[in-house]
Amino acid sequence: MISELEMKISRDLLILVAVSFGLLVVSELLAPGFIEIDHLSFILEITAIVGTAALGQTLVILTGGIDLSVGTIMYLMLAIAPRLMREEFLLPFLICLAVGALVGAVNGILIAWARVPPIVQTIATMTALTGFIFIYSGGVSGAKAHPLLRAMTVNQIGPLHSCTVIWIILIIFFYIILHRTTYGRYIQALGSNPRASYLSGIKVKLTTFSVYTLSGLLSALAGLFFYGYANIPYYPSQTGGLGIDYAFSSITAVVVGGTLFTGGKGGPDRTFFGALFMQLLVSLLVMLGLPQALRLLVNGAILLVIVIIYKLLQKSIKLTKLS
Amino acid sequence: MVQSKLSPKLKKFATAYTVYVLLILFWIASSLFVKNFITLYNMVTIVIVCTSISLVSLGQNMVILTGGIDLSVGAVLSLATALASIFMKSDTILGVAVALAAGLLIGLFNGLIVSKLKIEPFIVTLGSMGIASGLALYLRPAPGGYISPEFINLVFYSIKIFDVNFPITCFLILVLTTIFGEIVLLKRNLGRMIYAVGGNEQYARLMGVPVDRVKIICYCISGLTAALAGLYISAMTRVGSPSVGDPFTLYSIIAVTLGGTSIQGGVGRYINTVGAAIIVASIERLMNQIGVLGIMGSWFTWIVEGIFLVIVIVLSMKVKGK
Repeated sequence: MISELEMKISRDLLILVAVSFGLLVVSELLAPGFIEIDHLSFILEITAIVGTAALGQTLVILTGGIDLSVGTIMYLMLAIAPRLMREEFLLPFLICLAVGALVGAVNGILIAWARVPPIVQTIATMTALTGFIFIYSGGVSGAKAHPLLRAMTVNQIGPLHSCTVIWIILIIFFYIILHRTTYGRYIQALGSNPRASYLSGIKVKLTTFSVYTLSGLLSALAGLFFYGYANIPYYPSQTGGLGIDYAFSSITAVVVGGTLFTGGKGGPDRTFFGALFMQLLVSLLVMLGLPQALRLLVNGAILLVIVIIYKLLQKSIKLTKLS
Repeated sequence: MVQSKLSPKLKKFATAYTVYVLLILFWIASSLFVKNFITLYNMVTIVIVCTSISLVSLGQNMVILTGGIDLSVGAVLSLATALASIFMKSDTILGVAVALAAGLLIGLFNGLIVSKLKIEPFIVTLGSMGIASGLALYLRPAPGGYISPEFINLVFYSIKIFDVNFPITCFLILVLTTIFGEIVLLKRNLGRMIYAVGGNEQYARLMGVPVDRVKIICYCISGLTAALAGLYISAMTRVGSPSVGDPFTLYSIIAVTLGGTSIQGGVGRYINTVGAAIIVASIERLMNQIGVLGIMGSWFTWIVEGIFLVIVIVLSMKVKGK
């Protein structure tokens, strides 16, 4: 029964891949030159930035939680990295990642041991960090990105940019962890039934803590990619909830990929396609010359349509099982 | 004897209205550190900010009580200001009606998809947030438009008390919203059904509660109150703006959870949400008044709010655990 369900779910991954290809073909027809190596690798490069954060989000959502602070951690990197990376690269780079992991760990501790609901905890973190970022940076943008960081993000390895390569390696890495290790099975079990996982001896609290820490770490990496890609850090004059749009796009990528929002089913491979699909869509809309307003609108509508399609597919599975 | 009888009562009162105890402590602490914090002028400013947050939070509170969440409120608020600023050119009432209708429509849309298709509210309202903010940005790409003066005068009708302009209507809106929320949630059937749905949806269904209808009504109210807040903000800023509502989604969730409503639904009271909204507005006022920090002061607001939220939630978890 489970294998049948899994087969059906992997069928909707195939649908997503097919739709992505369809989107590519339509894009090429509407805007010739869309399917060129340069353009495609450029799309993958942008996707890798949010995609890295979405990877951490995937792990969190798999356990049945949610992390709204990923975008804020990305902006935190834009605030601290320019001040740390003056001459040296490696040590400040590791410090930045550690800071991200630390923020994630604070989330994890309060969610796992103090039992604060994830959505409330990560909103609180987002809120507090927003204040911190502006006070720390003074709202002034810092120096240009370190040449090595820039190389780590935009240099090309074959047709792909280096951040894309790192992203894909990370996705494969976490795919293997999820499907081949006990820890990975813990994560999936936690999402499908936390009570049963606890009773069967899974270290629920430690696993919960670890996914939020990983999410913080990966968001920090995403933030550094962002810095390397943009070269000059900037802060939008947003009031409150800095980076919430990035948090939302990471969640969108995960959900569009077909990972269950309630946890338990899905994985990094799906997030890869989810993130890519959303970016392809945005690129197509930009190429068609749609204003930002209509792009927002289409994005929202597409998210709803895809989620509804997934739901209907699930329902049809249940119906065929009954008959 | 009297003492021992009184103290459990007091304790019960303090646990039921933790937010207000916190608010008073916060006010006392602030007035110790900052001269002239408790002034009529400051209180008026707090009421003006608090009214908008309370309005959005009313709908958000109902939705969260059913176990859902509404991320679209901020975008609906912006859309309402945009629509009002367009349609008020021809007629004030038309502008108000169109803005409210848009809010109601988006709420209805959310409610239908959440209840009939059983898709997670977070995702549904994330999608409709995109649609609403896209529409707002399309209709009014930059802040501007026309908000009729008689509407502004009506919403901010004020009289002078001790040299301070006291906005009566605004204060009245806050009081009426609070009373309305309390009555609907505690004294009406709808309220009881909302708590039942949030407490345990399956039991509620078995007991004959029309779960779907309750949810749809809650999302409709949420869209409507967000649109009302949009009208209020458009009177305050005198323009329609495509992004003015963005922070309100967070504000409303913070106010509702800070007020002790459980994010899983079923537990909480609107009057405490209003208390939390007053706290949020007070923190903002205090930070603006601390002149030393200059512009940076407003950013401290966010740090304090974030830390406040965690402390209160952790404390309330501890209390419930015992």
